[in-house]
Amino acid sequence: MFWSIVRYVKGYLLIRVEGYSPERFLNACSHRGIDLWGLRSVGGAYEMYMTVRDFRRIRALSRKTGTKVRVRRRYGLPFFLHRYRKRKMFFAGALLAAVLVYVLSLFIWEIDIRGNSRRTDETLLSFLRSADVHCGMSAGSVDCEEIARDLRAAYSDLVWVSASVQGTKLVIQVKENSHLSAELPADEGDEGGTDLTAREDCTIVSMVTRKGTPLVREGARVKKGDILVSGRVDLKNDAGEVTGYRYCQAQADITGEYQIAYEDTMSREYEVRSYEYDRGSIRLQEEFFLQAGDWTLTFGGLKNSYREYEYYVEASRLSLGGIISLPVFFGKRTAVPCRVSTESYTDGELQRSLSSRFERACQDMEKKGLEITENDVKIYTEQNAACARGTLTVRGPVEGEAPTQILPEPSAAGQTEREDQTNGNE
Amino acid sequence: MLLRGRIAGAAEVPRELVLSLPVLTATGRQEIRLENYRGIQEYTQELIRVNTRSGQICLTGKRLAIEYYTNTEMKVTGLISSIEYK
Repeated sequence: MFWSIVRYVKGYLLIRVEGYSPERFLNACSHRGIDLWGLRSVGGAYEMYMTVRDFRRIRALSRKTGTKVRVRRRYGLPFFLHRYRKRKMFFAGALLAAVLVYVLSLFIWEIDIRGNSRRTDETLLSFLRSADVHCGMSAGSVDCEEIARDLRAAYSDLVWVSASVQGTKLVIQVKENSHLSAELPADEGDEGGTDLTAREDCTIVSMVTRKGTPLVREGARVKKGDILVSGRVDLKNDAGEVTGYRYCQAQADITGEYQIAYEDTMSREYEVRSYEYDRGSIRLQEEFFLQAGDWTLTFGGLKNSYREYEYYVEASRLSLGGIISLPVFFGKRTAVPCRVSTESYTDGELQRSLSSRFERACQDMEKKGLEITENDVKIYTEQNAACARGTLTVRGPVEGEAPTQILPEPSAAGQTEREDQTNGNE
Repeated sequence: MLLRGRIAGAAEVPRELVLSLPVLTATGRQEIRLENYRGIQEYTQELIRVNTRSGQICLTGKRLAIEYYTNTEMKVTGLISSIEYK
């Protein structure tokens, strides 16, 4: 493939060699390093291909070997250009296309964000837009280091950010911290601490404190927002008086038992779609389109008189070699005619569906680390709907984070008291 | 020649390199690659005779064509019926 492209660019010829002993000509060519290919024996003569450059070297050989060489056909770019040399607009168009591709390749046409699961593409893109990084900007003005630095500074849960320009695509790869507590900005050097607070009204079942001052015990009943472990550690002297405070990021595993209300309603009626197209006049409508900005070129049509139909769009972006993305989209739009009818579930079907949905919800809770200890969810069937309603008693982690309240240092107040006492004695 | 063969055997060098012996690589009946040859003696659609240092090699068959012919290697395609050393 590569060599055939090289040959096409350089130009090559199909020649016919006739004479008393054309084999001598072949051997002389191979001896002088002239490559031949596509050699065929045709009616006592030989036909073969050789490059234009080699053809200029064989005149002496043909004379020496007593053979006659005739050019049968010319192939390749030099001959193509020579043949169409008078078609100036064609060359102008080719040149314009090359210039356009070059100019378009100087801009960023796509921002590809990879590795994010908690931060959505839209969130990061809107942040980038505020930092003046957007589609259509010049590729030369992209400062990848600055983008990575800004993103890390703005989102502390992004532990690693890499930005690179690949063709006309700005690729931003991020790695999020899987630990949930990293969502809040937590500077190690900060003087303030972090408390662990209750996320739910619950009863504490177990508590293992690793850092901070525990304020509740197992079995205690707490309300949402109550501090469970304080990030403030009291510093005491030998007399047991508080002389100062030290603040830290409180850490503990706290399990609480609390109730969750569960309600899931399901309508008795549901829609059924039947697709019966390609029969008689009812046909599936297709339209192919090419879109560049506001300008759209379509082939086919979606005009129809169907009362109900589903509308699908499949669109792809035009790119050169998968690297240079162009602001051009192409694809297919389809209108699928359908008939929508309404049917009703029976009581048994409703109960089965609600039960399976409840089981799925329970499984989701278990995946989140919640243990269901009590369940009084019941299914109530009404005329038009059915409802699964009740409460679940669950056990699971209940700690949330909140900044610790900073108190004034007690040492100053203590000193003042002591001075007052001294004055009184005098 | 005999001495060269012995040296090649002792030095564990491939014999075709030292003695310039022809190397034929046949892929089924449709393709033969030939290396270390001197030149083509005769070529028709049914017969190709090639000179080598150790004699002549005759390839017979139908619709024989030489896909490429360079100083070091040639490739013959077609329906090959025999390979003969003379």
